[in-house]
Amino acid sequence: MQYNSLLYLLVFLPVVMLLYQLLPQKHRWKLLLAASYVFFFLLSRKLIIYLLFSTGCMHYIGLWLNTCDRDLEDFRGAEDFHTQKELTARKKRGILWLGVAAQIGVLLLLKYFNFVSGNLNILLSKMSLSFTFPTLKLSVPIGISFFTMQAVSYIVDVYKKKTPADRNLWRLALYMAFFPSIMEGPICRYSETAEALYAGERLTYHNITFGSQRIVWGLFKKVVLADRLSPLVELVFSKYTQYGGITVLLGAICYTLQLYADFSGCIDMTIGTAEMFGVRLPENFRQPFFSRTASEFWRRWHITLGAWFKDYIFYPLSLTKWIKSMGKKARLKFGRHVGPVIQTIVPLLAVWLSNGIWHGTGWNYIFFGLYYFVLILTGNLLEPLIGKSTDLLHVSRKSIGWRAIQTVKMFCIIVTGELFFKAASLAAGFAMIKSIFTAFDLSALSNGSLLNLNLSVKDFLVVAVGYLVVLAVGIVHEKGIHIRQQVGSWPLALRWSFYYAAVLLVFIFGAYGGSYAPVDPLYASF
Amino acid sequence: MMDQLLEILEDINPDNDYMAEDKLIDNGLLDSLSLLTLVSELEDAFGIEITPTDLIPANFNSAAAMWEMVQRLQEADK
Amino acid sequence: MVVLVLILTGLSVVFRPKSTSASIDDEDAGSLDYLVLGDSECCTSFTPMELWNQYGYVGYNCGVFAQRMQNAYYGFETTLESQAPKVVLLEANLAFTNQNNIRIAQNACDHLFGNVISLYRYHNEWQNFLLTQLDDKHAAAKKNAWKGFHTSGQVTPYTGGNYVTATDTVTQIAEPQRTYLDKIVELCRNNGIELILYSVPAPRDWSYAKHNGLAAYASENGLAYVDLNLLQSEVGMDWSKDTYDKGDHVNLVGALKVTTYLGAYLHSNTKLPDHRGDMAYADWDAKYQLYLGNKKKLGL
Repeated sequence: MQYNSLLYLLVFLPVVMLLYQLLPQKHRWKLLLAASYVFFFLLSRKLIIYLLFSTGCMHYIGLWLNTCDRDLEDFRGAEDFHTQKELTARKKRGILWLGVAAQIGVLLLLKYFNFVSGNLNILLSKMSLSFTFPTLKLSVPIGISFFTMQAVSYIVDVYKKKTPADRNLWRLALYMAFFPSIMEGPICRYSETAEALYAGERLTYHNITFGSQRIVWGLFKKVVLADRLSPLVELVFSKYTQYGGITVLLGAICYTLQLYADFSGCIDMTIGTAEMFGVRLPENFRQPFFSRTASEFWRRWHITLGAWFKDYIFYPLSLTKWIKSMGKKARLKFGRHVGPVIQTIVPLLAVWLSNGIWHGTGWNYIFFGLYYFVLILTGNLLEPLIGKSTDLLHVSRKSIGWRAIQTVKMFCIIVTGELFFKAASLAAGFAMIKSIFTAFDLSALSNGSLLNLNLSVKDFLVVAVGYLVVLAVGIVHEKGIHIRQQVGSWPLALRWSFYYAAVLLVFIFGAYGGSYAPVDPLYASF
Repeated sequence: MMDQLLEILEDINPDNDYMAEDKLIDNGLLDSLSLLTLVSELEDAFGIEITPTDLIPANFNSAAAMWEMVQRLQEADK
Repeated sequence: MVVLVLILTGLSVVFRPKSTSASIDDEDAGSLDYLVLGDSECCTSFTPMELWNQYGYVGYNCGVFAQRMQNAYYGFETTLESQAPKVVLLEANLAFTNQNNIRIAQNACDHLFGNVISLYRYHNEWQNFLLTQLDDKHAAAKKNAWKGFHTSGQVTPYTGGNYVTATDTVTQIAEPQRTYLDKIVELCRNNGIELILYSVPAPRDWSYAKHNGLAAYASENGLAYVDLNLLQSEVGMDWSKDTYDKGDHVNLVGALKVTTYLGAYLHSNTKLPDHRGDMAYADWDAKYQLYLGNKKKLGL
């Protein structure tokens, strides 16, 4: 069920909260687990076996790894400790790979089998071979891309001894299935969230109010802004051959804004819900449109995904023996700056291909990943050059002008990337980009054609005002001001008027009901 | 010996105050390229091998932590 | 919390359906004599203005793209709060489209909540009293002239040939569609409305087995069922000209044929009144002119 549905907000959540508060502390986590499984089952039914398999597998692997470590301790001080250490290390590596392969294997099979077999078939037919790979009818459970990553992060963290394995299968299950984050993340690390999940902290006035305020903010972004842009975006992207120039550009910008409001709005609802239960989930967005470089963007957008790739793909790959030696050689040959950049080529490529593939099955997603790969790599390479040029031109890189240019440049880059992300296919993406230039006609701004895209003037006004509010909040957050605390310190009447106004705004200006089709959370399908 | 470490750090990124700072990783003061260079230089300077397992914030958040890690890795090789 | 509920109910009083929206709410209360319900097969196939011109019949096409039986029922129930039709046509394709249980539960929740706090149902009315200076009344009138009909002038032929092959198989109407269909039937019965089931010619969605299922349901409930898939020659269907998406939906030309046939059916089988010349319906004449303009823009 959607986090912004009445069924969730007025039925499911209150019931869970009530039961939670009534139970004694040590049993509260079990309720959360039960609620999470009910939630999952309602959405994906029998496919829950994938969640169970993933959980069971990571549990067993974790315990096995711990056993290896414990067995090694028996040898400490003995003569052959060193050899035992080597053997254990090798054994643990094997277990690690087994666990990771099992998790990722299931995900790859479910999501990508048909894509791979389809493409292989195209290849085979081009080679005039009559063999075809079958296409399987595979259903994908909700959240599998997210919980698989959590499972892998747990296995690796146990392997690295960052966290001991959890002996309790069901506590691990809660970490995997926690209902606010199962659909769209954020991708949590066991060492950071597990304890709070099990603590069973009672609901407090403070947590409930702060949490629900965050939920309302998320609702505002999703229901008032994102869902309002959806009809325009759907129209332009599905009938892209009929549009060009400014219309397509508008469509791409609106999609970018919609995606941000939708995803970050749902995350706000997720984090707000968790907050009510005393669980602090990691942030996933930090004013991404303030970014000035592609690298920075991925530290501000879908933060937990970027962090996962950094910790579990980028650094492990960068520090493998042969990449390290490649780096050393590059440093000697190309200098202190270019050397390390060369060392990052393979790891970055792995990260960005994974990022693209993680998002979906389609060549446009792979293109999306490679797009950022090239941008980030060249950005890193050209760093010193840009530094020299700005020095030469006496432009301060800290000046507002420079930062503004970089932000605008970055916005264009982001929108382009998202266009390919949403486009029906890679070819469609290129066609759309091309049409922006070939059919560019400023008269579209004045001839009213932009009002035939399912959005009325008033809709555009609501969107404009709404995003200005989002921008203002972003600026305030960037300065480190905690809005809810500030509002919490206002006098009672003002405070409650503010809260009521916020809820009413969502009620009245939400893009729901009537002729609005419900919009599923955009990231839930990844 | 610790001086050698500080020298390496200053060389890679002079903007940070390595004596005072204890959140180099958590606050993003050392980016990934700097970190990779740092790992390479530490390995060369102190004859150790830094693996992905060692790459945790606890080991790199401050110069002191890094020094501790270096010494530990040197011990372990014996 | 209680205060919030009070505010919401208070505002609900303000947010009643107003008359400048290009939807069925634009029609004067109690003015419509017939309604057409259904999904996209319905809203693309029936154009009420033709029947105004030919017979003086007054009605509205309530079809919604991708609608399911549950929401069709809810929408119908809501419409009956302000309209009192004598005849309802139900395009029966939505007897066979289902949705998952969560959606159904969510819809039911929304409907119940909207019954209690009508602000939830009519909140979009803000468009009608805020910033009315920005309203393009002419565009809204032109849109209303379609009376709920959605169409396209494009032609993308259906080339699959004959798709009507008799069979004895019966596709049952599954739950929950059946329940909500029953509710519609009951609602009509309780309000003295004549309910007529019909099926638009649709090579992609229709099947003879579905026909059998619907025919069985119709006879069980004493309803007429007009299946245009079996009356294609009477309707005059030409699949090289009458569809805009290879047979999934009919285009303007196809819809005119369907409407003409159904109009004749209504003329012979129902007692719908002829409102031509009636001062209360003068607006329909004006709207008809706009409708002609709309058609012309699409090439007719």
